[in-house]
Amino acid sequence: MSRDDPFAGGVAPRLRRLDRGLAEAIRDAQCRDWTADRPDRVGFARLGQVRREVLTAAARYRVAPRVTDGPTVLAVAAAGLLVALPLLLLVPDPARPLPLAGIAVAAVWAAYAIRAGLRRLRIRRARHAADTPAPIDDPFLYAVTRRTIESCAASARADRSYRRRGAAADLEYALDWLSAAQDELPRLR
Amino acid sequence: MSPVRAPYTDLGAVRALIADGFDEIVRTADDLDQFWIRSACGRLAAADAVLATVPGRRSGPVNVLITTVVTAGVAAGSAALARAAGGGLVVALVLAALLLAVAFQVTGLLRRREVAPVRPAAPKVPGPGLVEVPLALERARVRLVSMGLRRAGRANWRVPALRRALSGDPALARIAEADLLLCQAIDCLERYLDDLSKDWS
Repeated sequence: MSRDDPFAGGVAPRLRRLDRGLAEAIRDAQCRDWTADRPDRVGFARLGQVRREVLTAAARYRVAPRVTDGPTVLAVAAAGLLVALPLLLLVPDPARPLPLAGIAVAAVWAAYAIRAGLRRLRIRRARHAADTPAPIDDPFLYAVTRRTIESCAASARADRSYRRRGAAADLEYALDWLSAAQDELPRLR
Repeated sequence: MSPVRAPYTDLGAVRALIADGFDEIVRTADDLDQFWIRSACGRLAAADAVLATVPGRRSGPVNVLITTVVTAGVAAGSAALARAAGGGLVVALVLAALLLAVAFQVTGLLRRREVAPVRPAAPKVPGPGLVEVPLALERARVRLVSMGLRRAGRANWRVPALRRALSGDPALARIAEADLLLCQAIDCLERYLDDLSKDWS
């Protein structure tokens, strides 16, 4: 079962994956618009509408949006392993109130510091990275998105619960916006 | 991140421009319940609400301070509680983890701060009809983008670095989100005007 198979898995993970891909394409197109590399403020706005409808449909499947990002998770894990655990093992009788508070504060500060460092490092490394082609120009993105949305809508229409059947309507709006983003038909001037 | 800080007077100026454009739409549109106009108004209100929650200059240190104080208090309290109950280190740690989760939920440090979008009151008399996208919205977008670019810093103006900066900096992410909503509002209005011009011809 390949990752790009639109019929792989249930509807909720498919919608989550779709949302992630769309968010990436939108952010990239927005950056290109900001830096006038590929000035087009309509395309990414319409993809944003697609993402909005997909998120509405995902909310009917109780897919919660992610609250943390990669560096945060990594920083918390690293602070727990590298700071809190050794301190707990080294400090004599760490269950007293004052030492435990000290260890907790040290871990929190370490987590903040590691997160800031990670973010700075990622940006610094990206400064010299080679530029890739824009995903918004990729016709395959639209084809895959359309197929995924259609298959999700088909599953949603056949669902037993009322709430999830409502997702089919949202996904049809998403399809409308997707074709508007691809063709960019009604544009003034 | 770059040492360049977003000047927060600019934020106020962008919000004022958005309010101007919104007001113009509400005054001149003949039918506020028309689909495109209603969508545009919703996006504008959402963009304004997002801009209202852009974290300020002091919000980072204040967040760290609050987290430190809450963590220290909860850890000390749970250790004292575990000691009084006769438990060891494991009991104290479990108690501290549970209490921390509750405390952060209550103080809202882990949640996103949300502001309810506000809309100007609709006038009694319908306007003459929209003929163009309000200029204030375009100007708001220009200022918003230049604010975001200044905030990202000159070294990050190439696309891969800017993408990382957008996902790494919470203030910049909010600015980008507001920019997306503003573009959607402008696009909705353009589609409305396009439909109108097709009807007339």
